[in-house]
Amino acid sequence: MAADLPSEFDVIVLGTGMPESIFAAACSRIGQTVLHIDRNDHYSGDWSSFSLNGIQKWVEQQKISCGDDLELSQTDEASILKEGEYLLKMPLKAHNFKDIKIKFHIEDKEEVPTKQEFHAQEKVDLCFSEEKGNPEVESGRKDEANEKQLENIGVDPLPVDTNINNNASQTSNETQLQDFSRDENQSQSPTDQKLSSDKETENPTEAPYTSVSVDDSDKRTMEGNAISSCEAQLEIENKEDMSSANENEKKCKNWSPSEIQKEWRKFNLDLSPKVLYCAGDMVELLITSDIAKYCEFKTVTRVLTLLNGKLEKVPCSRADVFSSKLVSMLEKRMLMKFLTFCMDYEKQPEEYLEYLGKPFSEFLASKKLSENIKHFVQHSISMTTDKDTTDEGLRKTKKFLQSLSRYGNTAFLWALYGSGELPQSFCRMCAVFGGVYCLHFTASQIILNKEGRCQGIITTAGQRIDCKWLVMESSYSPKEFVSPTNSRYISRAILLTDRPLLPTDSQELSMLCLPCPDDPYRPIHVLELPPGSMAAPQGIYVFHLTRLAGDHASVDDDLSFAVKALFKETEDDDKPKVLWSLYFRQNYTSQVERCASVPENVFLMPGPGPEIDADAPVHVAKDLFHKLYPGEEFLPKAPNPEDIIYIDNSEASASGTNQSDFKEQSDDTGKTQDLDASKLQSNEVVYAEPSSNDQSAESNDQSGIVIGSSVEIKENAEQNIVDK
Amino acid sequence: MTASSADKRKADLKVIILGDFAVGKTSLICRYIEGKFRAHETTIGAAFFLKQWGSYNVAVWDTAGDEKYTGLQSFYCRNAGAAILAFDLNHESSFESLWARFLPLLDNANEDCLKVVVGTKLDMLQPGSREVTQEEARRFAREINSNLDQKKLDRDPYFETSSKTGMNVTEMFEFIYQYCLPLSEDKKISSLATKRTSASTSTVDLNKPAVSAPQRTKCCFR
Ligand SMILES: Cc1cc2nc3c(=O)[nH]c(=O)nc-3n(C[C@H](O)[C@H](O)[C@H](O)COP(=O)(O)OP(=O)(O)OC[C@H]3O[C@@H](n4cnc5c(N)ncnc54)[C@H](O)[C@@H]3O)c2cc1C
Ligand SMILES: Nc1nc2c(ncn2[C@@H]2O[C@H](COP(=O)(O)OP(=O)(O)O)[C@@H](O)[C@H]2O)c(=O)[nH]1
Ligand SMILES: [Mg+2]
Repeated sequence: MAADLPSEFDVIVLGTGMPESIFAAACSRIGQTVLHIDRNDHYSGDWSSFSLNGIQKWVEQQKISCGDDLELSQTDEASILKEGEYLLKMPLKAHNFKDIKIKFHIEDKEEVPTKQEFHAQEKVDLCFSEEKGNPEVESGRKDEANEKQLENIGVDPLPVDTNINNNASQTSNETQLQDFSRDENQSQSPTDQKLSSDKETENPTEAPYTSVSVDDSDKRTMEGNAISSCEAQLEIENKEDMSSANENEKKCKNWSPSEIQKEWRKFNLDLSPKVLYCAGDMVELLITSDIAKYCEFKTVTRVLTLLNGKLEKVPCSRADVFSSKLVSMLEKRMLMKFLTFCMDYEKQPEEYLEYLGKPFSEFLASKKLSENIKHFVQHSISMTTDKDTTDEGLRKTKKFLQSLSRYGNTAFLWALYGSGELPQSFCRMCAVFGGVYCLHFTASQIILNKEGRCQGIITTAGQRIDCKWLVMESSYSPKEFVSPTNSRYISRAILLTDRPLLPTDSQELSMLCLPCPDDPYRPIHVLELPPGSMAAPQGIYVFHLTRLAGDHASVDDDLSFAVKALFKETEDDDKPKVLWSLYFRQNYTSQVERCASVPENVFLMPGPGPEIDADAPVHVAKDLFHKLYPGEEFLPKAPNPEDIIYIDNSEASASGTNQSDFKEQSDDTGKTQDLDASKLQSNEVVYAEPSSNDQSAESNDQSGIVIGSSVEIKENAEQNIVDK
Repeated sequence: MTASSADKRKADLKVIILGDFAVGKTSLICRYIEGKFRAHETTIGAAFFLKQWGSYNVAVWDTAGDEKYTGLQSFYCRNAGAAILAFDLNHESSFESLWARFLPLLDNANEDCLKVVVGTKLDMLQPGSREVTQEEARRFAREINSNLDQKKLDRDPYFETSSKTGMNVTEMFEFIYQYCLPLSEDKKISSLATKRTSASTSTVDLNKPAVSAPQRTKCCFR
């Protein structure tokens, strides 16, 4: 299918992770031709979010030792290469993950298995023996180290898990019908509706402090964390007594593996979960480029901390500070004063000058803050360790505070359906402007010329494709290109549980930074995702644990502090019970330093790092873009087709003004490239900037540009092109 | 951007279109939106169009040419209320692609996503050139919608259209709206409310900072 690609592009990008996707979109946006490739059969690479089946499949794929799943065509080098050119082999598969352990922590209920299930089981076994015929898969499984690991923690060997998985998907046809009818009943009854939104409401009296602006139509179903009007609050109070009756019943279901597996579609499990600072560069970019409209976001409703063995909500905003029972009156003053200083710390350098370059904790100590307050500021607000300098601590604290008031009482956002949606939204932007996409496909070799400059690639389909610039995620590159020294690992766990961290709030999206006794310099970051974030079906909560890997510890050792502190250990504590877990280690290259051997027109991009947020890839992509295209605008606002509303039979008044808009538009995109007619069409003639002096916008109270008879506009605009 | 445009920007219904390259997806949408057949070369379309239907905003998404060599992004299908599965009546392989390539993608759409099967290029049918019978397409359409409330479906969700003559194009979109969008205002509220409970309730519009916040929160550290 991918054999007939065009033979030349301005830019070839390998990998559809975050920085690559942002970069690809930026290039495409200014009219560069972009080929964007991923060797995986899914978008977003190591930044991806998966369904439950998807992540189980991913685990299996990680075991396949090289890119055998990619078919590789033979190439006749002599016929493809020009004089003086030579080839450099590329790896077909990355080895970014290791120590992968996947496991259900619960067993199927001991009900008599239905006939149907038995049947499926047999079939699955069959599938497996077939699969074992494949030597690669088998050797992967027989890998000694692998088996030892599994034994060590008493993990079921993988095939069992996969059994369940297939089992469920095979029986799902029958069961689905029931499911649907049940769901429908639920959702069609207005009382149920009320109840469920009510249950999501935490504490009605706190509601007014949080203020996420929502769309009108949503108001009826808003959750507690999104109340922005008194009316809504009233509604919630009215419903309050109804909720308690349902509370117990709903609280935590007794899940079995097959029940969880049956809901596999409803999971969105992130390999690299990233929150967004509300005032951070990613959010800024999403807005300025107008890509925000492709995605939806939830607020991280609270920051938690473990204080003297107890989980507490960190007071962040002024409202929190005043209402918090954790801080005394004296401490309130202290904290307020300190945070107010941090907002404008640059203006008072005398306060911190002598601590520049010294640890932030020393600076905090000098401020005579109480232990509690120091703990909040260091671990929850700035999320720094004792190694971080005062400059860094102040910068992070300020960023947090600036982010606080933008979308309500929260500093962070979470992308609905997982952060794997973000690279995809940039890919879509790239495709809309003509970027060509190929998945499950990659470059097998780089073509270099006499001077060592990259001329293009040979694809796994054996085709030569030339390019001016070659940009790749670093694990795509030949070994010679990366220095091994700065490669480190991150320990990760994804846990599914039956209830939230704190019993009362079912829809809180929480963050928690846990300093660990074994090495305080490497805290564990915990992210709690409720079903409302679309990470899991109703009744299941997703926890992401992230920590820089220790040198000698295993992934379990790295994360055990958090697992012990937060999750159920004995039957009678009421902490969340872990139902399913996936542990793994992820390689990352902190800084991709350029080795001398990297051709000057080849650039490497880092994979996901240990940061909790997604601002780093924005910088990486932006820096490279400005380097390659000095003077060009980085992802300017796209002409917004959403502002074009088509209305049947309305007057065609808009046409005149839109022409000029279009001219501007084409001038913009034409800077770097000849405008051929098809390109122009691709940039959609009907686009028009709503901000421009547009009579139609004034004469009509419809949003944006209203196009009465768009046909005419199109014609005019097309003429416009021809005139040029 | 005006305030009203910000309020309007969220669509009540997302309609997506899936199908092999060059089966006529973009032409179908253009015919419907613009009322005109553009005999264009295969182009890369806009991200999506908004269409007003009564008091509703409907977002009609087109593929961005990204399907030519590879799969679509999963997020293209996210939260879609209706999916048009388009195939070329003159090419059986494009019909086969619907279940082989495109149905699996709909895992990411709403659970109760209406799937409308559309045979395109009706005007190009010559005697003997039809490669997919009405019967098999109709049966396929019925089967893939068997999870839906059959009482609400007053006909099989199958249409044969021509973007050149306009045959059945509006009818097909009307059928989608009739099914997905409740007619009266009060029904609208309850039904849309239920539709959106799981997904998009109280998501954040990045373009709308919390201006309506109570004063106390607004003054945080400023
Ligand atoms: C120890 C202390 C230190 C203070 N420091 C400052 C300061 O540095 N700068 C300053 O501007 N104000 C400060 N205040 C607040 C201020 O003095 C008043 O409390 C404020 O003007 C509200 O008065 P009120 O009578 O309307 O509300 P009250 O009846 O006093 O408060 C009712 C509730 O509203 C909440 N609340 C009150 N004020 C705020 C607020 N500003 N933001 C969020 N929630 C609030 C509290 O949770 C309180 O329980 C401080 C208050 C205290 C107790
Ligand atoms: N005669 C005829 N041609 C059509 C029809 N629909 C599409 N085409 C042509 O088929 C080609 C591909 O159409 P396009 O909409 O770009 O397909 P897409 O890739 O699915 O978006 C174009 O050349 C169209 O002109 C139709 O209904 N009748
Ligand atoms: Mg098209």
